[in-house]
Amino acid sequence: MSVAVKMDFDNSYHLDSVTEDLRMSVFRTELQDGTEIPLKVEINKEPHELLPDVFNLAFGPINDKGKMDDKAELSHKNYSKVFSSILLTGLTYLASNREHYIGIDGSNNARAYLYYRFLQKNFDYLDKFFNMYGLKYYVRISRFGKSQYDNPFDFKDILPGIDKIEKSMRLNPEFMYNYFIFNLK
Amino acid sequence: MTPSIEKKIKEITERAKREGIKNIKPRSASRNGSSLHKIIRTKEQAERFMKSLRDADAE
Repeated sequence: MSVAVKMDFDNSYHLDSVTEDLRMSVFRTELQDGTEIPLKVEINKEPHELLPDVFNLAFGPINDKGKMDDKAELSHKNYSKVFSSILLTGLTYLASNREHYIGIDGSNNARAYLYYRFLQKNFDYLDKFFNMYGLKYYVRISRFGKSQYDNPFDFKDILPGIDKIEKSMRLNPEFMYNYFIFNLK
Repeated sequence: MTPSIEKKIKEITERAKREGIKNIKPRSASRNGSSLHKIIRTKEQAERFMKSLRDADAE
């Protein structure tokens, strides 16, 4: 996938449908082979039980059963327009829910790095609208065992660490954020 | 926020109120659940998360 994405909310797809609460919308994206498919953007209706102001945003094509496939890999004709449309739905939701945060998962390291590149390349533009944060999960090292095979990581003891994303922050792609969080400026 | 984007947001919001779909089933927005849901499981983690978020915002 090219990373030459230029975010521009003025250049976004028309929404085919949108729910009353602005949490779900559908637009059609054109793929590189010329076919058009519906792409669904959905913001969790149910908040995290311990984080009532943080809502996950996911997107993906709609499969045969009408469900969104947020792990699908598509070859879009216009990535700039697709990602502008996705973030515009997030922006529209936040404009009506100013105390909320929306979060986007980097489902794998490669995708998370790609999202980070998008944010960095469009930082000046996005910074006009959003505060942007990156979240990493840190696992405690308990103590080293007697043999080299003992696992020292205590996966029940995980701490979240959040950075405000700033312009030109350089990160090792191998240690990319797990989750990206946005709220309205 | 630029005037053209404000206009666009207003149009989408008004359209949603006017002709938006009223009922969708509550479900996870991610087919497999977000990592946030999988990892932040205790009150202490959630409190640390929000503190970290507020601290980052105050920077």
